[in-house]
Amino acid sequence: MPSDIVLSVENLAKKFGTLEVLKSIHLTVRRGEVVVIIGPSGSGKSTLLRLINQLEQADSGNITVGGQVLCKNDPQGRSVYAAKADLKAIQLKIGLVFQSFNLFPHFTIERNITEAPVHVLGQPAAQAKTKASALLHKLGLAEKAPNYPFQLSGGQQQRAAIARALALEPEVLFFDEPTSALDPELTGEVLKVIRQLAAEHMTMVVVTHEMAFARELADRIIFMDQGVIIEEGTPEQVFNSTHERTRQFLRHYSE
Amino acid sequence: MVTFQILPYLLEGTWRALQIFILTLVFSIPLGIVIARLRQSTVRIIQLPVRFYLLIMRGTPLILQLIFFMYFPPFVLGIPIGRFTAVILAFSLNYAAYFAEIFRGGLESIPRGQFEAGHVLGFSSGQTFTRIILPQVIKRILPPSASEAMTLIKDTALAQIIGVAELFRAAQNSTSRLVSIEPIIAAGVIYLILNSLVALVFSRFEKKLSYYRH
Repeated sequence: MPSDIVLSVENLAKKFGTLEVLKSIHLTVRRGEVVVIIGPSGSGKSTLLRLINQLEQADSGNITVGGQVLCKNDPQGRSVYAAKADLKAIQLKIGLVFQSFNLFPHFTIERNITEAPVHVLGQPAAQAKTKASALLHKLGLAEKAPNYPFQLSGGQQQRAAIARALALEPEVLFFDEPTSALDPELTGEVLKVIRQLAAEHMTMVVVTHEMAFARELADRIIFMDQGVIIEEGTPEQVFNSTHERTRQFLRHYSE
Repeated sequence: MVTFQILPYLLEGTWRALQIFILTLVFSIPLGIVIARLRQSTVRIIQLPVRFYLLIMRGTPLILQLIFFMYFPPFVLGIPIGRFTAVILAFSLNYAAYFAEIFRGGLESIPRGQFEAGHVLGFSSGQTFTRIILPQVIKRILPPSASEAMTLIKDTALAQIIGVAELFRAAQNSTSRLVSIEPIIAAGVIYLILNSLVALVFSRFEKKLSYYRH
């Protein structure tokens, strides 16, 4: 069922100078799926997310988001991007949660959440506020609406950032190491929120180093190293992998 | 006290100085923002002329630039230009260079993540700039901008070199006419009062933006 596929990446490649960060990446994400990407630093996990979110430009390969082509190879094998207006429509189908939260420090938490719905989607302010308040309530931040980001803990900031992304009702939500800037206690509260979203069948692609979390939550785990997907499968398959590189990587977490 | 006799004359000069101050800010700040953004261009044919401009404006004395703008347009280009216009032109172009660099410093101090968050949420680059980046830049560049504005108050005294009767010229004229140092001291006090006001306005503004932290 092709309509079931919300994200499709084919043959994606990206170089920074002479360094090949991604080599021929294939990835398909189905509606409602939770895909977790693991791998050592520098394996290209973040770059993959950044390419899908238009924060970097692909050298070659195809990316299709929710049936709309973001970029596609020309006959020379170079990625050609969609028109500017389409790029925006495609971006609005997806959301990205950053490692460093990137909340807007000069806006209250409420305004962080309502700014895009109001000024990008053109929603009436009252409607955006109602939605923001519902999201904050759901993520346990109901009383933080009038506060500024600096007044929140890291875990609260990250949850607010998740609320901000959800306010645009993305079809897929990407997480780029959402807990790497947090201590274990705060990590727990953010993971709880992601777990909650998974239970609601939110389609998510999560780059993380939290192996227990990956194992528990992922429908599918992708292990990347040096710009290639080494293997992918169910948590069961990947954590019991016979692949030497995968075993070597996972060993660091079981010690 | 001769000061009271010459006070109207000094105040007239003060008004002229203030005109230079206000018009220079009005022109140089927006121009500075544009120049800062052009300076950040990765296109060499845009960036190089901008760097050249910044070098000339910051690398030569303002007093020289004043004289240049007084004589270059009429005698070389055949465009007649008034003294006051030449002053505003020279000051605006000169201060735009300094504001551009202050602004660029502020712009580059904003974490990349702010631009990226704007993009990911669907804001256009114009919206990201005006709604997200610019307010944060303004907060960061207030202290150096205050210094720049205070320097500008004092630099208005240079306008007298091409015959614009601002505060310093007025005080100097009175001093030689009356053979008294009082007018110069009075002018000093007026500059100090003006700059106290400038400092006050900026610190108010800073306080107003202290509701958040980066």
